[in-house]
Amino acid sequence: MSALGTRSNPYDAIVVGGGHNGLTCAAYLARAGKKVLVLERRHVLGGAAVSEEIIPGYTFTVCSYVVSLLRPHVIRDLDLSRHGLEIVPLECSFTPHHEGPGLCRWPDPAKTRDEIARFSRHDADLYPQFGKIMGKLARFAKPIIDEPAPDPSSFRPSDLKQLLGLGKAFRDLGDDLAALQFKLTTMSAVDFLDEWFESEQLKAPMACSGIIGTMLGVHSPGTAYVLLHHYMGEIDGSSRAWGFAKGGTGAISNAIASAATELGAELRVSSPVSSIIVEKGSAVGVAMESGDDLYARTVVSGCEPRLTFLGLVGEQNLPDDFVTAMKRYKLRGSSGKVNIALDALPSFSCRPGDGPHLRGDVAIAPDIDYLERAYDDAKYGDFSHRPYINLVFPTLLDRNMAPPGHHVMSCFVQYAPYAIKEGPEHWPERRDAFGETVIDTLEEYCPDIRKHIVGKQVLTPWDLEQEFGLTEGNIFHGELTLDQLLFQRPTAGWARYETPVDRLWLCSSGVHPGGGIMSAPGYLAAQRMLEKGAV
Amino acid sequence: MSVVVIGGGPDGLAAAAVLASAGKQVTLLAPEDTLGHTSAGLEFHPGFRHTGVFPDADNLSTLAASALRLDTHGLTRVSVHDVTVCTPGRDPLTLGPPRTPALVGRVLPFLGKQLVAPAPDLTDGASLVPLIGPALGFRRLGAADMMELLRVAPLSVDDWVAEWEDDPIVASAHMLPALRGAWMGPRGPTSAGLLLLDLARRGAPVRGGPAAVVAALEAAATSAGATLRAGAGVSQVTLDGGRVTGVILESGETLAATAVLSTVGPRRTLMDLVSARELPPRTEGRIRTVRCRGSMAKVHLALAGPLIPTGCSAAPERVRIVGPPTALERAWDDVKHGRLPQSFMPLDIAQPTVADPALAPDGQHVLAVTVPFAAQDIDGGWTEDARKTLLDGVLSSLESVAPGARDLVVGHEVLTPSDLERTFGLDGGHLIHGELGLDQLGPLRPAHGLARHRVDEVPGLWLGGMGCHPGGWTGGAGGVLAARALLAG
Repeated sequence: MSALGTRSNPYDAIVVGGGHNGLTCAAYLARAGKKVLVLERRHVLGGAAVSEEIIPGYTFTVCSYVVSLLRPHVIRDLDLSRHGLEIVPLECSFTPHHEGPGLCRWPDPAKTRDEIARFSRHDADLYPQFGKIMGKLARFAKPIIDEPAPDPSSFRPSDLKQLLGLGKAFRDLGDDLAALQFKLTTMSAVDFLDEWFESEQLKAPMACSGIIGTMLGVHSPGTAYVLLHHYMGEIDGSSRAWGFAKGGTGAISNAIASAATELGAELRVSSPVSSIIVEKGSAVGVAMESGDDLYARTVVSGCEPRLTFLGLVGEQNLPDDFVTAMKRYKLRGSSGKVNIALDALPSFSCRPGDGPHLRGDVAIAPDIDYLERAYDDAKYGDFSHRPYINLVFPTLLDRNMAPPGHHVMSCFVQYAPYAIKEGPEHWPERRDAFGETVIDTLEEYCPDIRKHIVGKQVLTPWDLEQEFGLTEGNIFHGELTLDQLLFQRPTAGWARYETPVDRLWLCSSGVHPGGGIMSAPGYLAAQRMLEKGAV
Repeated sequence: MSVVVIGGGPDGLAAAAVLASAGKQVTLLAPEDTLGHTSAGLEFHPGFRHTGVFPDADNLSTLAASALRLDTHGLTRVSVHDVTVCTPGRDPLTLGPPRTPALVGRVLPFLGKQLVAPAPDLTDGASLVPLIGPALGFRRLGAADMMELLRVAPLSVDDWVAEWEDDPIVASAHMLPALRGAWMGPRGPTSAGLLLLDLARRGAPVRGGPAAVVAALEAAATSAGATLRAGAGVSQVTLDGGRVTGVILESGETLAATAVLSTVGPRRTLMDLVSARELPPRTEGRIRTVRCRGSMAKVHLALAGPLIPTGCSAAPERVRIVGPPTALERAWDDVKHGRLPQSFMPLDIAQPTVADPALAPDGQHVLAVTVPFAAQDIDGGWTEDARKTLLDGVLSSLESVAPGARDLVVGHEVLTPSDLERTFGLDGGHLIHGELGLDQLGPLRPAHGLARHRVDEVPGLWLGGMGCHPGGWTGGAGGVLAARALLAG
């Protein structure tokens, strides 16, 4: 018998892209006894969930850096703990201010209450109640991320059953909560929070979760619902919504990769795919940049949908309306990443020195207006003059990521619009200025930071696209807006992991339930393929 | 059964007419000296009248028009208003109908139906039966249109209009109506849904504008036997044991009534007229959070001669001065940040004297300018200087497409959102009593639990008007639906 991957002896499945979803999908297919090959373009697995020693001695969690919704059943099924996964909870959400001690939200409700009461007693009193109600809404919404997207246009009994189930769950919320759930999907983060709270200092860092990864502002309708994500994480059993994987998010990918390998999947790095081979409307394999062709009964793309279809499949193999839909698919990356190596911890002037307030995420989001102005800059094609920054010190959670006494700092920066007015290809010329803006911003809160910097890595949306295949630098493989969610992700009629190309499937964050380190699309795609006997 | 209707605008008049036709003893109380509220045509400068502070009557509800047979009360329509679109440095053009995809033609009848029917009731214990109709209607659109509607509705007008209109100036001109009364700019998601609703609402314009609607409704209400009292502001709705007993007027006069139907804005009705203290907490909580941030101003200009933009051969009746969508977005930024308009001001203009020269002295003209982006709550407040700056911005925009326009002005009236609030008692200076947004429409307008016009916890109190379903610019429909709900309940 010839080697696997030939026409006569094809793989059961080839997964294009070794991001965490591609790896998850491969692991589940391998677990079902399928012969699976994962092809990763870069020299390292993980896609955007990757840890790399960019500066000798300092390991950066290069792109993604925190984890919230990694599906517990995936962790269990693939036994990821045994494969080295260890997630530590973030201990605090800290928002520094120019005046006063800033705001820390702790796992301990009493401590949080005291912190908020400094700004508003009213808000401090309401905060726990808000959490309770959001928890209830999250409980309603959460099953949606563990099931294929409902299809409101279908009359199939199984689909109707799912819709009725959702309808019933919706009614079971009680009418007040159901109304709130609806408002949550259409309101802006600020308007939604305004119904509850009065202090800017509390609302600003809360509103941020609504804009992450999207080219919208905190006042834009539709940004409220992402607030729910924060509360969904808590349901999965951890005391805090957000956690950090020891070793960075690359450790998550590595654990999944290790599980997949053990289950029999074959993983290849430095193996760029140039196209998906389509014959008579059916995917039969992939053409490698090396010139080789590899064949499989099924091809699964872990790449972003537009890249998959317009880049790897080609318009000539697709129906016209589908091509239009992919061209309209909104990517619009809006963020960059700055990773900094430090010879010592910087000190925040509002809460000097080391302390538990640094063992979580730090949000540079002093007030609502600051965030909205950051968006204004981006709207007209520039990066924010004073950006929203969300940062963590991974070394406070995992000592092994830098030399003793030294630290790494992982900064998510928004807004850095892909479409700058000079044109995205001019980002490399603006990269240094962007990096400096980030340091300048941080310096306003940590005056000593500059002298501790040993080195840094600045990733613009252009870099995220060129290096990590994130089209237009969108970290979620497509905006998480209402018109691109659920049964419309990536487009109506193709939200169940299948595509207009026979035997081509999708398993990336560009399909339901979307972005973030969840492993849900990878898992759901594998389930669906197995159910349908596609592999 | 005696009913007091509060508010003399189209909704109040329509409600009074419907109730009186059904044999109720109706007294309508309007605080202003003239009936019509913001739709009243008034003299704003000696010899110059506008046809209503309310921008236009293109959206007069078909429900109100047909239910009250307004044609028999003197209402006539013109076929279509040509809108002239102007932008600096380019010849004006006549705005054609939007080149929307065929889908729009198919879904508008469905949307239009929702605008003349009671809002779906989503409260606890409500029967699901009334939901079946709309749900089936939605499904009857067919899978493709249904999905496309679900895709388009959450989009921004900027994204959606770009799909079918290449010319950015024309695109802006089409976007403008969708953003009236919504607290968002063209890049605001869900504004495409608002544009669809606007298209569904739009009917043939009424000859004579809002003032003509008022005249027809007044005739309908009077002939049905309603008593209409102007100059009779209500200061309080009286309750006894939580039940409505009547009203107290600002003059101190009391009027007993078995039911009160208020069209003056749901938040104002419940928070001020009933008094927040007497309101059960559940209702108070629901109404307190209704968003009413006024974002439009109105400027009336008395002109010595007609406004004829460069490149026009005659004086146009409707003009929109716009820049590309980015310019609209920048104008919106000023509202968002609560500052005076700082950049180019887009304007939506009517020159009613073109059709009705009698509104001004011989050969002179009236310009009714809607400023779609003007914040209610600007830094430093609407001082005399701030109002001057606003007027100056309007004149500069006019001047940019019609040089010499400034010199034509012989008189003016500036109504900032804060003036609108003061003059007309509009909450937040919001002309339609509550922002348009998907979360403040249908079963959520004005708020959850209040969309069926009744206030469960205050028996005898009914809410009508633009702050209620079907909301927005649909003159008269809120009043008709509220009156019908009262009659049924």
